[in-house]
Amino acid sequence: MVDNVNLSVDIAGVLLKNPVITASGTFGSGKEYSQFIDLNELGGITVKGVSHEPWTGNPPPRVAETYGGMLNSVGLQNPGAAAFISEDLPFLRKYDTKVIVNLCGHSLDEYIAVAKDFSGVFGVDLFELNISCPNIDKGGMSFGTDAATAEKVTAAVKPHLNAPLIVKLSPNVTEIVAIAKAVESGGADGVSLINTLVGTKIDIYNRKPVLANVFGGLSGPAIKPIAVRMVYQVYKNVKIPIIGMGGIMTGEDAIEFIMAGATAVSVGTANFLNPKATVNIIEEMQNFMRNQKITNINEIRGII
Amino acid sequence: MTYEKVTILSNQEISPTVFEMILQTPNFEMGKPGQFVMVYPNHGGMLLPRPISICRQTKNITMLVYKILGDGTRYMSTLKQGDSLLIMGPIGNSFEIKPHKKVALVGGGIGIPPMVFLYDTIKSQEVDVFLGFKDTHFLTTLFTDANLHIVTEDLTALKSLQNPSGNIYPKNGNVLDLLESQSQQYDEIYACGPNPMLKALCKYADKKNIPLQISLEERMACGLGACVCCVANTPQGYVKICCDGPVFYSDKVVL
Repeated sequence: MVDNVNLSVDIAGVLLKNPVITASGTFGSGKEYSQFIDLNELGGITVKGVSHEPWTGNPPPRVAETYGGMLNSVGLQNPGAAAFISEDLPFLRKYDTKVIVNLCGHSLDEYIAVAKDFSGVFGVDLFELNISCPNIDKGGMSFGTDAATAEKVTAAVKPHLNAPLIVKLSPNVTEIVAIAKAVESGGADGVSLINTLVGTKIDIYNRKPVLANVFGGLSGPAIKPIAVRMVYQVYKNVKIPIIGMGGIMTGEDAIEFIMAGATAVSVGTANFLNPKATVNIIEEMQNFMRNQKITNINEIRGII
Repeated sequence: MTYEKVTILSNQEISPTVFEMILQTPNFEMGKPGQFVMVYPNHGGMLLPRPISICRQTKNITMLVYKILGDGTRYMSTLKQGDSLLIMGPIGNSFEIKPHKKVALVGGGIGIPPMVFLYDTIKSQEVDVFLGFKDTHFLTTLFTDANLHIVTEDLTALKSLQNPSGNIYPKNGNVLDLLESQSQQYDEIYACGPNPMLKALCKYADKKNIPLQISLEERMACGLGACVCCVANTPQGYVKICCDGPVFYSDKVVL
Protein backbone atom coordinates (compact mmCIF):
# COMPACT_ATOMS: atom_id res chain seq x y z
CA MET A 1 0.00 0.00 0.00
CA VAL A 2 1.11 3.53 -0.73
CA ASP A 3 -0.68 6.56 0.69
CA ASN A 4 -0.31 9.20 -1.94
CA VAL A 5 -0.83 8.47 -5.58
CA ASN A 6 -0.29 10.97 -8.37
CA LEU A 7 -2.81 10.76 -11.16
CA SER A 8 -1.96 13.95 -13.01
CA VAL A 9 -1.07 13.63 -16.66
CA ASP A 10 0.16 15.91 -19.42
CA ILE A 11 -1.57 15.99 -22.78
CA ALA A 12 0.25 18.17 -25.28
CA GLY A 13 1.36 20.55 -22.53
CA VAL A 14 -2.06 20.67 -20.85
CA LEU A 15 -1.94 19.33 -17.29
CA LEU A 16 -4.93 17.24 -16.22
CA LYS A 17 -5.40 16.56 -12.49
CA ASN A 18 -6.29 12.99 -13.38
CA PRO A 19 -6.60 11.01 -16.62
CA VAL A 20 -10.39 10.66 -16.58
CA ILE A 21 -12.24 12.64 -19.23
CA THR A 22 -15.82 12.37 -20.42
CA ALA A 23 -16.34 11.11 -23.96
CA SER A 24 -17.93 13.42 -26.47
CA GLY A 25 -21.66 13.04 -26.95
CA THR A 26 -22.29 11.16 -23.73
CA PHE A 27 -22.04 13.98 -21.23
CA GLY A 28 -23.84 16.85 -22.94
CA SER A 29 -21.96 19.93 -21.90
CA GLY A 30 -21.56 18.79 -18.31
CA LYS A 31 -24.55 20.65 -16.92
CA GLU A 32 -26.77 17.57 -17.11
CA TYR A 33 -24.45 15.60 -14.81
CA SER A 34 -23.53 18.35 -12.37
CA GLN A 35 -26.47 17.36 -10.14
CA PHE A 36 -24.81 13.96 -9.55
CA ILE A 37 -21.10 14.66 -9.45
CA ASP A 38 -18.70 17.49 -8.73
CA LEU A 39 -17.35 18.38 -12.16
CA ASN A 40 -14.22 19.77 -10.47
CA GLU A 41 -13.16 16.19 -9.81
CA LEU A 42 -12.84 15.32 -13.49
CA GLY A 43 -9.59 15.47 -15.42
CA GLY A 44 -11.49 16.95 -18.31
CA ILE A 45 -14.85 17.27 -19.99
CA THR A 46 -15.17 16.62 -23.70
CA VAL A 47 -18.36 18.28 -24.84
CA LYS A 48 -20.80 17.00 -27.42
CA GLY A 49 -19.78 17.58 -31.03
CA VAL A 50 -19.96 21.19 -32.17
CA SER A 51 -20.43 22.23 -35.79
CA HIS A 52 -20.30 25.63 -37.49
CA GLU A 53 -24.04 25.69 -38.24
CA PRO A 54 -26.71 23.89 -36.20
CA TRP A 55 -27.17 20.23 -37.15
CA THR A 56 -30.60 18.60 -36.95
CA GLY A 57 -29.42 15.02 -36.43
CA ASN A 58 -31.02 11.78 -37.60
CA PRO A 59 -34.66 10.69 -37.21
CA PRO A 60 -35.59 8.53 -34.19
CA PRO A 61 -35.26 5.81 -32.99
CA ARG A 62 -31.64 6.77 -32.44
CA VAL A 63 -30.57 4.20 -29.88
CA ALA A 64 -30.61 0.42 -29.59
CA GLU A 65 -29.12 -1.79 -26.91
CA THR A 66 -27.04 -4.79 -27.89
CA TYR A 67 -25.33 -7.35 -25.66
CA GLY A 68 -22.76 -5.38 -23.66
CA GLY A 69 -23.12 -2.41 -25.95
CA MET A 70 -25.33 0.18 -27.51
CA LEU A 71 -25.81 1.57 -30.99
CA ASN A 72 -26.52 5.24 -31.50
CA SER A 73 -27.41 7.19 -34.59
CA VAL A 74 -27.87 10.63 -33.07
CA GLY A 75 -26.10 12.20 -36.04
CA LEU A 76 -24.36 14.91 -34.01
CA GLN A 77 -27.46 17.02 -33.40
CA ASN A 78 -26.20 20.28 -31.96
CA PRO A 79 -27.20 23.95 -31.94
CA GLY A 80 -23.97 25.15 -33.57
CA ALA A 81 -20.79 26.86 -32.40
CA ALA A 82 -22.32 30.27 -31.64
CA ALA A 83 -24.89 28.76 -29.25
CA PHE A 84 -22.23 26.56 -27.63
CA ILE A 85 -19.89 29.50 -27.08
CA SER A 86 -22.56 31.74 -25.57
CA GLU A 87 -24.46 29.15 -23.50
CA ASP A 88 -22.32 26.14 -22.60
CA LEU A 89 -18.75 27.40 -22.46
CA PRO A 90 -19.33 30.01 -19.71
CA PHE A 91 -20.91 27.27 -17.54
CA LEU A 92 -17.96 24.93 -18.04
CA ARG A 93 -15.43 27.65 -17.29
CA LYS A 94 -16.73 27.93 -13.74
CA TYR A 95 -15.17 24.54 -12.99
CA ASP A 96 -11.59 23.58 -12.31
CA THR A 97 -11.39 20.99 -15.07
CA LYS A 98 -10.05 20.98 -18.62
CA VAL A 99 -12.53 21.76 -21.35
CA ILE A 100 -12.15 19.79 -24.56
CA VAL A 101 -14.25 20.95 -27.48
CA ASN A 102 -15.15 18.33 -30.06
CA LEU A 103 -15.35 19.78 -33.56
CA CYS A 104 -17.22 18.26 -36.46
CA GLY A 105 -17.94 19.09 -40.05
CA HIS A 106 -19.31 17.67 -43.29
CA SER A 107 -16.56 19.14 -45.44
CA LEU A 108 -13.12 20.68 -45.24
CA ASP A 109 -14.74 24.12 -45.38
CA GLU A 110 -17.08 23.29 -42.51
CA TYR A 111 -14.18 22.02 -40.38
CA ILE A 112 -12.25 25.21 -41.03
CA ALA A 113 -15.35 27.31 -40.35
CA VAL A 114 -15.98 25.73 -36.95
CA ALA A 115 -12.28 26.06 -36.07
CA LYS A 116 -12.48 29.76 -36.92
CA ASP A 117 -15.62 30.11 -34.78
CA PHE A 118 -13.35 29.46 -31.79
CA SER A 119 -10.57 31.84 -32.73
CA GLY A 120 -10.44 34.51 -30.06
CA VAL A 121 -12.68 32.46 -27.79
CA PHE A 122 -11.23 32.08 -24.32
CA GLY A 123 -11.56 28.96 -22.23
CA VAL A 124 -10.93 25.96 -24.45
CA ASP A 125 -8.03 23.81 -23.21
CA LEU A 126 -7.95 21.27 -26.02
CA PHE A 127 -9.73 20.67 -29.28
CA GLU A 128 -10.77 17.23 -30.42
CA LEU A 129 -11.35 16.85 -34.13
CA ASN A 130 -14.10 14.38 -34.97
CA ILE A 131 -13.06 12.94 -38.30
CA SER A 132 -14.58 9.59 -37.59
CA CYS A 133 -18.23 9.84 -36.67
CA PRO A 134 -19.97 7.07 -38.57
CA ASN A 135 -23.36 8.76 -38.39
CA ILE A 136 -22.94 11.38 -41.04
CA ASP A 137 -23.73 10.39 -44.59
CA LYS A 138 -20.89 12.30 -46.12
CA GLY A 139 -17.77 13.92 -44.71
CA GLY A 140 -16.99 12.43 -41.30
CA MET A 141 -16.62 8.86 -42.39
CA SER A 142 -14.45 9.49 -45.43
CA PHE A 143 -12.08 11.86 -43.60
CA GLY A 144 -11.32 9.29 -40.92
CA THR A 145 -10.97 6.23 -43.10
CA ASP A 146 -8.40 7.51 -45.56
CA ALA A 147 -4.91 8.42 -44.35
CA ALA A 148 -4.28 11.21 -46.88
CA THR A 149 -7.65 12.86 -46.21
CA ALA A 150 -7.21 12.55 -42.45
CA GLU A 151 -3.84 14.29 -42.71
CA LYS A 152 -5.29 16.97 -44.94
CA VAL A 153 -8.14 17.92 -42.61
CA THR A 154 -5.80 17.93 -39.61
CA ALA A 155 -3.39 20.25 -41.37
CA ALA A 156 -6.23 22.48 -42.57
CA VAL A 157 -7.80 22.95 -39.15
CA LYS A 158 -4.66 23.19 -37.02
CA PRO A 159 -3.53 26.74 -37.95
CA HIS A 160 -6.88 28.20 -36.89
CA LEU A 161 -6.83 26.83 -33.35
CA ASN A 162 -5.51 28.52 -30.23
CA ALA A 163 -5.20 25.29 -28.23
CA PRO A 164 -3.62 21.87 -28.93
CA LEU A 165 -5.42 19.60 -31.36
CA ILE A 166 -6.37 16.00 -30.61
CA VAL A 167 -7.66 14.02 -33.58
CA LYS A 168 -10.25 11.36 -32.80
CA LEU A 169 -9.70 8.25 -34.88
CA SER A 170 -12.26 5.93 -36.41
CA PRO A 171 -11.84 2.21 -35.75
CA ASN A 172 -13.66 1.41 -39.00
CA VAL A 173 -10.40 1.15 -40.91
CA THR A 174 -8.08 -1.55 -42.13
CA GLU A 175 -4.91 -0.07 -40.64
CA ILE A 176 -5.34 2.23 -37.64
CA VAL A 177 -1.59 2.91 -37.38
CA ALA A 178 -1.50 4.40 -40.88
CA ILE A 179 -4.23 6.90 -39.97
CA ALA A 180 -2.58 7.76 -36.64
CA LYS A 181 0.75 8.41 -38.37
CA ALA A 182 -0.99 10.51 -41.01
CA VAL A 183 -2.66 12.85 -38.52
CA GLU A 184 0.62 13.08 -36.59
CA SER A 185 2.25 14.26 -39.82
CA GLY A 186 -0.66 16.65 -40.32
CA GLY A 187 0.24 18.38 -37.08
CA ALA A 188 -2.00 16.67 -34.51
CA ASP A 189 -0.82 17.20 -30.93
CA GLY A 190 -2.48 13.96 -29.84
CA VAL A 191 -4.93 11.30 -30.90
CA SER A 192 -8.02 9.92 -29.22
CA LEU A 193 -9.31 6.47 -30.00
CA ILE A 194 -11.53 4.73 -30.61
CA ASN A 195 -14.72 6.25 -31.90
CA THR A 196 -17.71 3.91 -32.29
CA LEU A 197 -17.78 0.89 -34.60
CA VAL A 198 -20.45 0.88 -37.27
CA GLY A 199 -23.16 -1.67 -36.58
CA THR A 200 -26.85 -2.38 -36.90
CA LYS A 201 -29.60 -4.29 -35.12
CA ILE A 202 -32.68 -5.84 -36.68
CA ASP A 203 -36.09 -6.08 -35.06
CA ILE A 204 -36.95 -9.59 -36.22
CA TYR A 205 -40.62 -9.34 -35.19
CA ASN A 206 -41.27 -6.21 -37.23
CA ARG A 207 -38.68 -7.19 -39.86
CA LYS A 208 -36.93 -3.84 -39.95
CA PRO A 209 -33.82 -2.18 -38.51
CA VAL A 210 -34.24 -0.85 -34.97
CA LEU A 211 -32.53 2.43 -35.85
CA ALA A 212 -34.32 4.74 -38.28
CA ASN A 213 -30.89 5.47 -39.75
CA VAL A 214 -30.30 1.68 -40.16
CA PHE A 215 -26.65 1.98 -39.06
CA GLY A 216 -25.34 3.33 -35.79
CA GLY A 217 -22.15 3.54 -33.78
CA LEU A 218 -21.48 0.71 -31.35
CA SER A 219 -20.04 1.66 -27.98
CA GLY A 220 -19.79 0.08 -24.54
CA PRO A 221 -17.85 -2.83 -23.05
CA ALA A 222 -18.49 -4.95 -26.16
CA ILE A 223 -15.88 -2.90 -28.06
CA LYS A 224 -13.24 -2.62 -25.34
CA PRO A 225 -10.83 -5.34 -26.55
CA ILE A 226 -10.71 -3.72 -29.99
CA ALA A 227 -10.07 -0.31 -28.44
CA VAL A 228 -7.27 -1.61 -26.21
CA ARG A 229 -5.66 -3.37 -29.18
CA MET A 230 -5.76 -0.20 -31.28
CA VAL A 231 -4.33 1.98 -28.49
CA TYR A 232 -1.56 -0.59 -28.07
CA GLN A 233 -0.74 -0.52 -31.79
CA VAL A 234 -0.87 3.26 -32.10
CA TYR A 235 1.26 3.79 -28.98
CA LYS A 236 4.05 1.73 -30.52
CA ASN A 237 4.01 3.83 -33.67
CA VAL A 238 3.42 7.50 -32.83
CA LYS A 239 5.07 9.98 -30.48
CA ILE A 240 2.03 12.10 -29.66
CA PRO A 241 -0.09 11.33 -26.57
CA ILE A 242 -3.15 9.11 -26.75
CA ILE A 243 -6.55 9.48 -25.10
CA GLY A 244 -7.92 5.93 -24.94
CA MET A 245 -11.59 5.09 -24.91
CA GLY A 246 -14.05 2.36 -25.76
CA GLY A 247 -16.16 0.58 -23.16
CA ILE A 248 -14.44 1.78 -20.00
CA MET A 249 -16.74 0.92 -17.10
CA THR A 250 -14.33 0.59 -14.17
CA GLY A 251 -10.99 1.82 -12.87
CA GLU A 252 -9.45 -1.49 -13.94
CA ASP A 253 -10.65 -0.90 -17.50
CA ALA A 254 -9.04 2.54 -17.45
CA ILE A 255 -5.75 1.10 -16.15
CA GLU A 256 -5.80 -1.40 -19.01
CA PHE A 257 -5.85 1.46 -21.52
CA ILE A 258 -3.05 3.28 -19.69
CA MET A 259 -0.90 0.14 -19.73
CA ALA A 260 -1.62 -0.19 -23.46
CA GLY A 261 -0.21 3.30 -23.92
CA ALA A 262 -2.94 5.85 -23.28
CA THR A 263 -2.01 9.00 -21.38
CA ALA A 264 -5.63 9.71 -20.49
CA VAL A 265 -8.93 7.92 -20.93
CA SER A 266 -12.47 8.89 -21.83
CA VAL A 267 -15.62 7.47 -20.28
CA GLY A 268 -18.74 7.44 -22.43
CA THR A 269 -21.43 4.79 -22.34
CA ALA A 270 -20.76 4.13 -18.64
CA ASN A 271 -22.32 7.53 -17.87
CA PHE A 272 -25.68 6.16 -19.04
CA LEU A 273 -25.55 3.21 -16.64
CA ASN A 274 -24.38 5.31 -13.78
CA PRO A 275 -24.25 9.11 -13.79
CA LYS A 276 -21.46 8.89 -11.20
CA ALA A 277 -19.34 6.52 -13.32
CA THR A 278 -16.49 8.99 -13.94
CA VAL A 279 -15.82 9.79 -10.29
CA ASN A 280 -16.15 6.11 -9.34
CA ILE A 281 -13.53 5.26 -11.97
CA ILE A 282 -11.11 7.87 -10.59
CA GLU A 283 -11.50 6.37 -7.12
CA GLU A 284 -11.05 2.84 -8.41
CA MET A 285 -7.87 3.86 -10.25
CA GLN A 286 -6.51 5.34 -7.03
CA ASN A 287 -7.35 2.17 -5.14
CA PHE A 288 -5.65 0.03 -7.76
CA MET A 289 -2.53 2.17 -7.61
CA ARG A 290 -2.42 2.07 -3.81
CA ASN A 291 -2.81 -1.68 -3.75
CA GLN A 292 -0.25 -2.20 -6.51
CA LYS A 293 2.20 0.31 -4.97
CA ILE A 294 2.15 2.60 -7.97
CA THR A 295 2.81 6.16 -6.86
CA ASN A 296 2.55 7.85 -10.24
CA ILE A 297 0.19 6.89 -13.04
CA ASN A 298 2.88 7.74 -15.60
CA GLU A 299 4.95 4.78 -14.32
CA ILE A 300 2.60 2.29 -15.92
CA ARG A 301 1.84 3.99 -19.20
CA GLY A 302 2.66 1.76 -22.16
CA ILE A 303 4.42 -0.85 -20.05
CA ILE A 304 2.96 -3.70 -22.08
CA MET B 1 -33.91 14.17 -8.96
CA THR B 2 -33.17 11.07 -6.90
CA TYR B 3 -30.81 8.26 -7.93
CA GLU B 4 -30.93 5.39 -5.47
CA LYS B 5 -31.42 1.73 -4.78
CA VAL B 6 -34.93 0.99 -3.55
CA THR B 7 -36.69 -2.12 -2.28
CA ILE B 8 -39.39 -3.98 -4.18
CA LEU B 9 -42.48 -4.54 -2.04
CA SER B 10 -44.35 -6.50 -4.67
CA ASN B 11 -44.14 -7.32 -8.36
CA GLN B 12 -47.11 -9.12 -9.83
CA GLU B 13 -48.66 -9.85 -13.18
CA ILE B 14 -51.99 -8.00 -13.35
CA SER B 15 -52.77 -8.98 -16.93
CA PRO B 16 -50.83 -11.22 -19.35
CA THR B 17 -47.31 -9.68 -19.70
CA VAL B 18 -48.35 -6.57 -17.74
CA PHE B 19 -46.83 -6.18 -14.27
CA GLU B 20 -47.47 -3.94 -11.32
CA MET B 21 -44.36 -3.20 -9.27
CA ILE B 22 -44.61 -1.50 -5.91
CA LEU B 23 -41.43 0.14 -4.66
CA GLN B 24 -40.56 1.43 -1.23
CA THR B 25 -39.37 4.97 -1.93
CA PRO B 26 -39.42 7.05 1.27
CA ASN B 27 -36.47 9.20 0.15
CA PHE B 28 -37.55 9.57 -3.43
CA GLU B 29 -38.52 12.98 -4.71
CA MET B 30 -42.27 13.29 -5.35
CA GLY B 31 -43.16 13.20 -9.01
CA LYS B 32 -45.96 14.78 -10.97
CA PRO B 33 -48.40 13.13 -13.41
CA GLY B 34 -46.65 12.44 -16.70
CA GLN B 35 -43.18 12.11 -15.17
CA PHE B 36 -41.24 8.86 -15.33
CA VAL B 37 -38.36 7.05 -13.68
CA MET B 38 -35.35 5.30 -15.18
CA VAL B 39 -35.05 1.68 -14.06
CA TYR B 40 -31.52 0.23 -14.25
CA PRO B 41 -31.68 -3.52 -14.99
CA ASN B 42 -27.94 -3.81 -14.28
CA HIS B 43 -28.00 -7.41 -15.38
CA GLY B 44 -26.21 -9.56 -17.95
CA GLY B 45 -25.39 -7.70 -21.13
CA MET B 46 -27.90 -4.93 -20.47
CA LEU B 47 -26.47 -1.47 -20.13
CA LEU B 48 -29.20 1.08 -20.51
CA PRO B 49 -31.88 2.14 -18.06
CA ARG B 50 -35.55 1.70 -19.04
CA PRO B 51 -37.92 4.66 -18.86
CA ILE B 52 -41.13 3.68 -17.02
CA SER B 53 -43.90 6.16 -16.25
CA ILE B 54 -45.04 6.71 -12.69
CA CYS B 55 -48.46 5.13 -12.23
CA ARG B 56 -48.99 6.18 -8.63
CA GLN B 57 -46.87 7.75 -5.95
CA THR B 58 -47.31 8.54 -2.29
CA LYS B 59 -44.74 9.72 0.22
CA ASN B 60 -43.39 6.20 0.81
CA ILE B 61 -44.49 4.19 -2.19
CA THR B 62 -44.05 4.35 -5.96
CA MET B 63 -46.08 2.14 -8.27
CA LEU B 64 -44.87 1.28 -11.75
CA VAL B 65 -46.91 -0.66 -14.28
CA TYR B 66 -44.96 -2.04 -17.23
CA LYS B 67 -45.37 -4.51 -20.04
CA ILE B 68 -42.79 -7.10 -21.08
CA LEU B 69 -41.55 -5.73 -24.37
CA GLY B 70 -37.91 -6.77 -24.36
CA ASP B 71 -35.00 -7.99 -22.26
CA GLY B 72 -35.15 -5.17 -19.71
CA THR B 73 -38.82 -5.46 -18.85
CA ARG B 74 -38.55 -9.28 -18.96
CA TYR B 75 -35.78 -9.06 -16.37
CA MET B 76 -37.86 -6.66 -14.27
CA SER B 77 -40.70 -9.19 -14.29
CA THR B 78 -38.44 -11.79 -12.63
CA LEU B 79 -37.68 -9.61 -9.61
CA LYS B 80 -39.23 -10.59 -6.31
CA GLN B 81 -40.41 -8.95 -3.14
CA GLY B 82 -37.37 -7.82 -1.14
CA ASP B 83 -35.11 -7.47 -4.18
CA SER B 84 -33.52 -4.10 -4.70
CA LEU B 85 -33.72 -1.98 -7.82
CA LEU B 86 -31.73 1.05 -8.87
CA ILE B 87 -33.91 3.89 -10.12
CA MET B 88 -33.56 7.55 -11.03
CA GLY B 89 -36.26 10.16 -11.19
CA PRO B 90 -38.69 11.75 -11.33
CA ILE B 91 -37.80 12.81 -14.87
CA GLY B 92 -39.39 15.05 -17.45
CA ASN B 93 -42.10 17.67 -17.49
CA SER B 94 -45.66 16.77 -16.53
CA PHE B 95 -49.21 17.23 -17.68
CA GLU B 96 -50.27 20.84 -17.26
CA ILE B 97 -53.26 20.86 -14.94
CA LYS B 98 -55.72 23.71 -15.29
CA PRO B 99 -58.88 24.68 -13.38
CA HIS B 100 -61.17 23.06 -15.93
CA LYS B 101 -64.74 21.88 -15.59
CA LYS B 102 -64.68 18.84 -17.82
CA VAL B 103 -61.75 16.90 -19.19
CA ALA B 104 -61.14 13.66 -21.04
CA LEU B 105 -58.33 11.22 -20.20
CA VAL B 106 -57.44 8.85 -23.00
CA GLY B 107 -55.14 5.89 -22.47
CA GLY B 108 -54.21 3.09 -24.82
CA GLY B 109 -52.61 -0.14 -23.57
CA ILE B 110 -49.39 0.45 -21.66
CA GLY B 111 -50.02 4.20 -22.06
CA ILE B 112 -52.64 3.91 -19.33
CA PRO B 113 -50.40 3.90 -16.19
CA PRO B 114 -49.53 7.64 -16.28
CA MET B 115 -53.24 8.41 -16.70
CA VAL B 116 -53.86 6.83 -13.29
CA PHE B 117 -51.49 9.31 -11.66
CA LEU B 118 -53.13 12.15 -13.56
CA TYR B 119 -56.59 10.95 -12.57
CA ASP B 120 -55.57 10.76 -8.89
CA THR B 121 -54.50 14.39 -9.15
CA ILE B 122 -57.45 15.89 -11.02
CA LYS B 123 -60.41 13.81 -9.93
CA SER B 124 -62.11 16.79 -8.33
CA GLN B 125 -62.82 17.89 -11.91
CA GLU B 126 -65.43 16.11 -14.00
CA VAL B 127 -63.39 13.45 -15.74
CA ASP B 128 -64.38 11.12 -18.56
CA VAL B 129 -61.89 8.31 -18.99
CA PHE B 130 -61.43 6.44 -22.27
CA LEU B 131 -59.29 3.33 -22.17
CA GLY B 132 -58.37 1.09 -25.06
CA PHE B 133 -57.10 -2.47 -24.72
CA LYS B 134 -56.17 -5.17 -27.20
CA ASP B 135 -57.77 -7.84 -25.08
CA THR B 136 -57.70 -8.10 -21.28
CA HIS B 137 -58.07 -4.96 -19.24
CA PHE B 138 -55.93 -3.69 -16.38
CA LEU B 139 -55.94 -0.72 -13.97
CA THR B 140 -59.59 -0.09 -14.79
CA THR B 141 -60.64 -0.26 -11.14
CA LEU B 142 -58.42 2.68 -10.24
CA PHE B 143 -60.57 5.26 -12.02
CA THR B 144 -63.13 5.03 -9.24
CA ASP B 145 -65.45 7.99 -9.77
CA ALA B 146 -64.96 8.68 -13.45
CA ASN B 147 -67.25 7.94 -16.34
CA LEU B 148 -65.24 5.05 -17.62
CA HIS B 149 -65.43 4.11 -21.28
CA ILE B 150 -63.55 1.00 -22.30
CA VAL B 151 -62.94 -0.41 -25.73
CA THR B 152 -61.35 -3.69 -26.60
CA GLU B 153 -60.96 -5.91 -29.60
CA ASP B 154 -62.27 -8.78 -27.48
CA LEU B 155 -65.42 -7.91 -25.52
CA THR B 156 -65.52 -11.23 -23.68
CA ALA B 157 -62.38 -10.10 -21.88
CA LEU B 158 -64.42 -7.39 -20.17
CA LYS B 159 -66.98 -9.78 -18.71
CA SER B 160 -65.20 -9.97 -15.39
CA LEU B 161 -65.15 -6.20 -15.01
CA GLN B 162 -66.78 -4.98 -11.83
CA ASN B 163 -69.29 -2.22 -12.49
CA PRO B 164 -70.66 -1.17 -9.11
CA SER B 165 -71.53 2.38 -10.07
CA GLY B 166 -72.95 1.52 -13.45
CA ASN B 167 -70.77 4.05 -15.21
CA ILE B 168 -68.61 1.65 -17.18
CA TYR B 169 -69.32 1.38 -20.88
CA PRO B 170 -67.53 -1.52 -22.59
CA LYS B 171 -67.56 -1.44 -26.40
CA ASN B 172 -65.90 -2.85 -29.47
CA GLY B 173 -63.79 -0.58 -31.64
CA ASN B 174 -61.19 2.00 -30.74
CA VAL B 175 -60.99 4.86 -28.27
CA LEU B 176 -61.40 7.50 -30.94
CA ASP B 177 -64.76 6.09 -32.12
CA LEU B 178 -65.84 6.19 -28.52
CA LEU B 179 -64.66 9.73 -27.97
CA GLU B 180 -66.30 10.88 -31.20
CA SER B 181 -69.62 9.37 -30.14
CA GLN B 182 -69.74 11.67 -27.12
CA SER B 183 -71.86 14.78 -27.25
CA GLN B 184 -69.71 16.35 -24.53
CA GLN B 185 -67.39 19.22 -25.26
CA TYR B 186 -64.17 18.87 -23.27
CA ASP B 187 -62.03 21.73 -22.03
CA GLU B 188 -58.87 19.63 -22.34
CA ILE B 189 -57.85 16.16 -23.43
CA TYR B 190 -54.92 14.28 -21.92
CA ALA B 191 -53.58 11.19 -23.67
CA CYS B 192 -50.91 8.53 -23.65
CA GLY B 193 -50.79 5.46 -25.86
CA PRO B 194 -49.61 4.03 -29.15
CA ASN B 195 -48.69 6.45 -31.93
CA PRO B 196 -51.63 5.65 -34.26
CA MET B 197 -54.00 6.45 -31.39
CA LEU B 198 -52.21 9.72 -30.64
CA LYS B 199 -52.19 10.69 -34.33
CA ALA B 200 -55.94 10.13 -34.60
CA LEU B 201 -56.50 12.10 -31.40
CA CYS B 202 -54.42 15.00 -32.72
CA LYS B 203 -56.73 15.24 -35.75
CA TYR B 204 -59.80 15.04 -33.55
CA ALA B 205 -58.59 17.69 -31.12
CA ASP B 206 -57.57 19.97 -33.95
CA LYS B 207 -60.98 19.62 -35.61
CA LYS B 208 -62.83 20.23 -32.34
CA ASN B 209 -60.39 22.93 -31.27
CA ILE B 210 -59.73 21.27 -27.91
CA PRO B 211 -56.28 21.58 -26.27
CA LEU B 212 -54.66 18.13 -26.28
CA GLN B 213 -51.67 17.12 -24.16
CA ILE B 214 -49.96 13.91 -25.20
CA SER B 215 -47.22 11.95 -23.48
CA LEU B 216 -44.65 10.43 -25.84
CA GLU B 217 -42.43 7.40 -25.52
CA GLU B 218 -39.03 6.71 -27.10
CA ARG B 219 -35.96 4.58 -26.57
CA MET B 220 -33.63 6.45 -24.20
CA ALA B 221 -30.07 6.23 -22.94
CA CYS B 222 -29.20 8.86 -20.32
CA GLY B 223 -32.56 10.28 -19.27
CA LEU B 224 -30.85 13.59 -18.53
CA GLY B 225 -30.89 15.34 -21.89
CA ALA B 226 -27.21 14.68 -22.53
CA CYS B 227 -27.20 11.96 -25.17
CA VAL B 228 -29.92 13.38 -27.46
CA CYS B 229 -31.20 9.89 -28.33
CA CYS B 230 -34.91 10.27 -27.51
CA VAL B 231 -36.23 12.93 -29.82
CA ALA B 232 -39.60 14.04 -31.09
CA ASN B 233 -40.00 16.02 -34.26
CA THR B 234 -41.37 19.55 -34.16
CA PRO B 235 -41.69 22.25 -36.83
CA GLN B 236 -38.56 23.81 -35.25
CA GLY B 237 -36.54 20.58 -35.34
CA TYR B 238 -35.98 17.73 -32.92
CA VAL B 239 -36.62 18.18 -29.19
CA LYS B 240 -35.64 15.83 -26.37
CA ILE B 241 -38.50 13.72 -25.04
CA CYS B 242 -36.78 13.07 -21.70
CA CYS B 243 -36.38 16.69 -20.67
CA ASP B 244 -38.43 18.85 -23.07
CA GLY B 245 -41.23 16.24 -22.70
CA PRO B 246 -42.50 13.60 -22.36
CA VAL B 247 -45.70 15.70 -22.41
CA PHE B 248 -46.31 17.96 -25.39
CA TYR B 249 -49.25 19.96 -26.66
CA SER B 250 -50.37 18.13 -29.78
CA ASP B 251 -49.98 21.20 -32.01
CA LYS B 252 -46.30 21.54 -31.02
CA VAL B 253 -45.06 18.14 -32.23
CA VAL B 254 -45.13 16.27 -35.53
CA LEU B 255 -46.01 12.62 -34.95
